[in-house]
Amino acid sequence: MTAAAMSFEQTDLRLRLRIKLFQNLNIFTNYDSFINSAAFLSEEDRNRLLIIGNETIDNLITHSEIGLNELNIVLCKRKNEIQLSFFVQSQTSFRIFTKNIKNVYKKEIFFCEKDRRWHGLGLKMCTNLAREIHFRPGTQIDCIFIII
Amino acid sequence: MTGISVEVTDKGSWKILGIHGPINSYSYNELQEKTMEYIGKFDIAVDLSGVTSMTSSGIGVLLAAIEDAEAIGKKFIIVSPSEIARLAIESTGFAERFPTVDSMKDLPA
Repeated sequence: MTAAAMSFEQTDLRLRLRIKLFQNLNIFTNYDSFINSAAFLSEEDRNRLLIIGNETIDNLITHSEIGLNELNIVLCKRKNEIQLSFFVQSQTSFRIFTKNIKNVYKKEIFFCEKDRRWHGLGLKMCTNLAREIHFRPGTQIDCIFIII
Repeated sequence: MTGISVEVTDKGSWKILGIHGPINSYSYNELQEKTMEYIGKFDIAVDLSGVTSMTSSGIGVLLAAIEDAEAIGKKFIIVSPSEIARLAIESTGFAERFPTVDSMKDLPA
């Protein structure tokens, strides 16, 4: 694994795992290994987090959010929920995306003939798999919180 | 594994594409190239039992291929999707658009 660091922390009430990833060919494999290392996840939750996480990383790469910077991910299990959090250096494109998020949610997915790609499909998949998704742009760090 | 492998075999009128590995923005091109190579010439069955993860990039390729095949009167069927591929398809909210069978022997003649 080429990820810089992975740590594990357990308290009475919750379990927490962290990983720092960099954009390279192994980023998806490293994320999958991270999720697969979380012994507290059920098979169903593991599959949900693999799809949601891969989709999120895919979008961060596609929209150049990661670039040369690091992507920090925290997986936390509480009593009744699991939270997956993404932290990446702030980008203008993320702020613009979050400003328009209500319109993005309203839009139907559509196929673009030019780039032969479906737009809005990944977000629809994630919203259907997650209980909640929150996008928080910051001055230093942009955050995505996903709760299942 | 960072990419996918696509194994191509023939079964009657069917061209079978066996996909192994993760389908994401780094790897979906190979799936797209293979499906586009055979669409229009054969009925296509895509075996997803070896898929380890799938993003909307992969789902989009499958959906476009299904629509292209239907438009020219050919069949495009998904075979025995892995649990994660099945969940990815279901998460779209329109799983009924993805013709699926449990095994190769369930493919129509």
